[in-house]
Amino acid sequence: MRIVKIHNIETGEIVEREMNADELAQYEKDKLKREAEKQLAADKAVAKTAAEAKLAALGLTADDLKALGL
Amino acid sequence: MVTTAGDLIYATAADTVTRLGIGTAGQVLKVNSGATAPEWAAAAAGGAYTLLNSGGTALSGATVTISSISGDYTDLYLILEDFQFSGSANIQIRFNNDSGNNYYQSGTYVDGSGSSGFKGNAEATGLDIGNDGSSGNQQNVGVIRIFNYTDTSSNRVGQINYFMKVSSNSFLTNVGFGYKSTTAITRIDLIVGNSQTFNGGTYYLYGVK
Repeated sequence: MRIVKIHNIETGEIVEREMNADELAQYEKDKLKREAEKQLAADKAVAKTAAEAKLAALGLTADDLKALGL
Repeated sequence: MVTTAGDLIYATAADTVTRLGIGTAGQVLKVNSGATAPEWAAAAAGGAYTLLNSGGTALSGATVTISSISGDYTDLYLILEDFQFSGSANIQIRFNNDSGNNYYQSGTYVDGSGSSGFKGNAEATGLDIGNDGSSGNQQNVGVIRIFNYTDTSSNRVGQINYFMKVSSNSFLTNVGFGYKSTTAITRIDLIVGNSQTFNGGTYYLYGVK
């Protein structure tokens, strides 16, 4: 059950009700999109850490790559 | 009864009327301090903040929709005070129920561990507040300012600042945002992520002249 609070700021009327079908569908769609974005960011962070570890094994740092213009 | 062009007539009691002489240039009509009669007065200076929801409104539920926002102001200023979630979450903001890829934000953050960095999104479906924020009473605060929110000749820009506590770490984030739309903003949605809900807090919406 997902509750939406609707505040008509002109009249002051506040309605709290369950989301209707359209609202719930949008809510679930947004949720999946945000989870995918979060996973993508996490994957990038893991890939960056792995790349840094490989560089370190070669005795290099990210600054060394920048110095080479990479 | 009337003597000059621009004079007004108003009632002082049932079936009794009187004259209100025309005011001077720039004056506006207001109700007197006794709330008994109209009178002319100097217009309020620009830059005034008008609270559109007197006393503030509690944040609750999975989504808060602020609708029927007056177009009488230049900017809107939304304050989220002491907001909390039922679990780790953040807030997505949308305007006019627009879920298109029309939202841009970029800025920086710093946290209590000494880390800092860039925070940005382009062509997103909303504006983010939070870093998967905290639950419990963490005195989180956020402010959103929307400039020229009724201007139909250009897109929207604004600012978001928020200070949130996640576990034992505090984050300060300051971003600017762009919203690709020339439609006057009459509605703001605050959508809690991660299947969580608001678990406290109050919002205040100001119109700024």
